[in-house]
Amino acid sequence: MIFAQMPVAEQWNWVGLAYGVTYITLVVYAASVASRISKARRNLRGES
Amino acid sequence: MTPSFFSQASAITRRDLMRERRSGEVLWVTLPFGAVALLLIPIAIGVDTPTLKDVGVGMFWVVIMLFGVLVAVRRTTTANQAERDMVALTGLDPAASYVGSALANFVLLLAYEVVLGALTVVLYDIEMTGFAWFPLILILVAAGLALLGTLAGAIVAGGTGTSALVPFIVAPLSVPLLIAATQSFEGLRLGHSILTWVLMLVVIVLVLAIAGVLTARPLQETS
Amino acid sequence: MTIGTTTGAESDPRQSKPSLWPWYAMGVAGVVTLIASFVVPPDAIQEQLSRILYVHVPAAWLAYLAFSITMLASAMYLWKKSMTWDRIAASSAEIGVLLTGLTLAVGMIWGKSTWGVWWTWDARLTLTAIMFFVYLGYLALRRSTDNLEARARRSAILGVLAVVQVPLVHFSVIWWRGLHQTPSLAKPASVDMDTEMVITLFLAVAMFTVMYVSMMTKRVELARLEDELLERDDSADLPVAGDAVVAPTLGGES
Repeated sequence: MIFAQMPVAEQWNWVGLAYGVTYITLVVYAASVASRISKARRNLRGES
Repeated sequence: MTPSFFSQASAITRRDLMRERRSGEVLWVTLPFGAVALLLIPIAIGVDTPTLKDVGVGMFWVVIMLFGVLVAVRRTTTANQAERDMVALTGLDPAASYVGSALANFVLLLAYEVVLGALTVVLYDIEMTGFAWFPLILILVAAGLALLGTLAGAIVAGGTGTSALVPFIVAPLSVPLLIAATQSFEGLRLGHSILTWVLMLVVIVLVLAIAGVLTARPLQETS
Repeated sequence: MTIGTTTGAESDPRQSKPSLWPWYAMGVAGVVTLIASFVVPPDAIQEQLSRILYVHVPAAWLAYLAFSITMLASAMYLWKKSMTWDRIAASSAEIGVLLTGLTLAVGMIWGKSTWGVWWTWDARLTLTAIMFFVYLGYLALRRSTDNLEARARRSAILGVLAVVQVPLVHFSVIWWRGLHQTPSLAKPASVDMDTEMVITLFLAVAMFTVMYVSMMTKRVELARLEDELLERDDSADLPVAGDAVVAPTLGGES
């Protein structure tokens, strides 16, 4: 098995990559939803 | 005083790219379509990894030739007769319009190649030997296909052909590009010199560019 | 909190305060998952790499949940014709695509670190990739129509078509892989897990569910606002330049 030979430091790199990708993606998506909501509210407020 | 050829062309490029940014057609339709094609192939031909490794690069280029050309004929590039008449009336140099559109298509096709290339490497487990040459080959093929696709689009414009007409016209004409691209990658894999193939790509691009510019005005007058 | 209004008067966007609990819930869920997955002891065989499972598995489960919601909501729209169902279906599809993409990406990281390959063609991965593109197509379809009702109807029909197709896709791919020798690689779910790992995994799934529900709340709210904007722009009676031109009539009197 490959992972049994992998040094711990390298393992943490992979774990960090996985968590980094996950959290950054989710945070960016949530932020984009939030900003689109406030933009939509502003548009609706401004003209209706 | 009429704007220079260059500023006319870059205005067209900017317009095309902005249209694509608004509609997102390449990002949401053309690109996923090419990706699905790459996904279907191993399901069809079997997934024994040695086989996939061998055919991966070839399959990538076929997908680019057949599906990538759709980038050049997306909804945002086909104008109806009234729009074309309007543009002609403005006195816009048709050669500049051609160059501008081809440049926009080149940018989109290059991005297309890069994304699908990365996908191919992952799905087909390709080895990246000769990686340093990849950008040059990708750029030349993208330029050639963009010039060819834009020209074919201009030839077909205004006709009653189906949406498959331009890809169909381009496909056989893209064979030189296909051969040069696949043979370059094969040469890199085997460690041979690929200079002749790269030169062939350069010649193809030049021939297409000249053909496109020279035929631009006659094409405008026939449509 | 409002997930979306049903029929009757839409709540005035100028007066309804934006609800913030979904954001807090997402934040808490994220932190809890992070802490739990780093506090749990590493697996005996896969050591620290096992921690990748605590984001990969929940992402996969929630992705499938999200697509199931899309299927259900699509059927409900076709039955009840209420726009709320359309918004729920679309929002869930978008979040589902995001989570599926994440599942594939983290799955590839897992595969590269534990088996040394970025991709294998086993049934589960292939199925996940196919599902990704089915729902990406759903999203592309929605982008192609501006008319709210037409978009809702088309998407709902596609959503229901997916319900019919998915079992077929599922079984054909599993059968296809069964005809060939499946690679003898350890799959995440078959790893022998001790109690602490199981608990952490369930906690992670629960937190991801909290995140999904919160995200859905906000995404459906966004859909409602954007639909209102589309409707308002459609019905706006703006003066057009052509109004200044009066058609000539015979006889000289206009």
